[in-house]
Amino acid sequence: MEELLRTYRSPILRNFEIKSVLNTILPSHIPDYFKKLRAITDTGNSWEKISRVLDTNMVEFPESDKAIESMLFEKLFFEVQDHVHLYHFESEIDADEFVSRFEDEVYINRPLNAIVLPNEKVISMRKDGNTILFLYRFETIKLGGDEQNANFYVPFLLDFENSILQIRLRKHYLSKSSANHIALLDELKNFINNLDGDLSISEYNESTVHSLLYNIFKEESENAEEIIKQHMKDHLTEGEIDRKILTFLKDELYMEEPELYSERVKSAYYQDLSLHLNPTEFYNGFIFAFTFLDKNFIRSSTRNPKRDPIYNSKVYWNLKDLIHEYEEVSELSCFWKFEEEDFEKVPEGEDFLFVEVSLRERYGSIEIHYYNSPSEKRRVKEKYVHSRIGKYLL
Amino acid sequence: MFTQELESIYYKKPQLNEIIPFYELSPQIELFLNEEVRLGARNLNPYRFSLRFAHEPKDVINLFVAFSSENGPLMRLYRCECIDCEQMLILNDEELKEFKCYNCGSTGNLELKDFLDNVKVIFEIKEKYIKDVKARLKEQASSDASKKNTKSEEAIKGEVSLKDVFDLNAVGSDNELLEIEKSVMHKITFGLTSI
Repeated sequence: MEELLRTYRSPILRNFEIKSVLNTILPSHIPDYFKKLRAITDTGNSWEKISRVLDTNMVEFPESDKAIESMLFEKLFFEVQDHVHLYHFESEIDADEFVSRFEDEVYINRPLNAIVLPNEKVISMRKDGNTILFLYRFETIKLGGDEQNANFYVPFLLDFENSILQIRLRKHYLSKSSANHIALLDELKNFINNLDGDLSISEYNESTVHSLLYNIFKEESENAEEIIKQHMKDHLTEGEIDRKILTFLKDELYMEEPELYSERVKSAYYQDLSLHLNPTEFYNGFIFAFTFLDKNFIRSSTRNPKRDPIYNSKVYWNLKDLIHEYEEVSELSCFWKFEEEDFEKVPEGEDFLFVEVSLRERYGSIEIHYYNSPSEKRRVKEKYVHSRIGKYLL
Repeated sequence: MFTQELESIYYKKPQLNEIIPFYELSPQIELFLNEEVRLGARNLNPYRFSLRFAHEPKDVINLFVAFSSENGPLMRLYRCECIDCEQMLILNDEELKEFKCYNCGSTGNLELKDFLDNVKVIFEIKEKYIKDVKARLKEQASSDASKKNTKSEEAIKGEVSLKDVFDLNAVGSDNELLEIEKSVMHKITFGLTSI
């Protein structure tokens, strides 16, 4: 096979932060990494210098380079992308069949740093189980004060197991792009629809997504209520509270139909308790923001700027009943703690995984915003989020 | 009153029965209208209706477009979020053509397909019908029969944006809509891949 021309150019590497990513992971793959980096005397920015070190390493130690390439690919594809758009797709085939139709394409398993034509969109396509990964280069943008070139990748993933398409991107790269959000998604969707006749994307009905978010909202607020109940004063049980409320409404206030209002009083009781609870009580999983559109599209939004639970906020309590009436939530942000081996378990101790996400409907997709990107173990975090969503989607 | 109006529209345009037959639609829309007005709605959201009763969003929009023609009981409006500032906007035909976000001043270009992708249709209920429903709800306030819905499988998927509405093989579309299509979208109505 003809040897591919490869070089680590800075527009590729510009996608990775130097201190937290490149200088953290490369030393374990390249002996004397920092010494080699200092030895580069050419002018140029830090990314250009690192690219020299990587190029030299590639020629001298092909095995080490292979490991570096696949690690950078993984980070680029998953970890650095902070927004993911989910769409449903119809297809009768699986990943094996799909990949067999692209056998002759140059981009199959092509390395990240292969030299490609300026207009080439697909840099690399890889199969991983029953999923196909496409590293798609949307365009080149300028980043930073000195306007360095950076490749703006918009990777996408076809998950044949669950019939889900993921279009992945970095929001602040989009703001430097000549295209807007919708135009970008359109380009990708057109490209994917034209890939293969046996594959077609369908979009989500906005109301489907709002109802999905409501279901998650409901789950989370029930969890919170459980925690609040554990803190009832004098070890009162729920039954005792109910009786006390009814007795009070009937005997003290002489209400005609106390049953009609007892739930509201109970809600006020819980609210009073929660306003005085320490937020850490909810730290196993909680809502930190949500947006709600009323029947006439009047938007109410609440967001804890510290990304702490919103159950201490009066706004939450005031809107909660209305949300249960409408059964729709238009945007939901949650913190979720989970056990890697068993998503049903609640993790104990200090050693656990967590994920912080915002979910909403956007241009016919379910948009998931992953906070704290890049972060470790991103794949399993996404798997967890999908398991929470999947419960309510077909 | 509302459903009688729809009946007469169906009578004038019998081909609407090919989309959703009147005998099927009539009890559904009556129930939906009552539920939505009770919750304070002044408009009907076709996406919600399609989810609620397992219809294709395209079909529902197509019908609602017919119900909002001329003297119909609904009025067609557009809802979109400004792509620059995310402000939610409700616009009529004219405001859509001359799009300008009142919040940030950004202007949209109707000739761009991506602008239209962001626009959804909503249908305002004309005032007299809201009053009518409210009066009836008051009468039957005691017998509240709003029960939980069965979620529809067909309607889970199928987001419809404005361009799809224009793309429809418009059985129910009225001339006015076709006029807008002609005047502002001649460039983009061809060659769209429907997603």
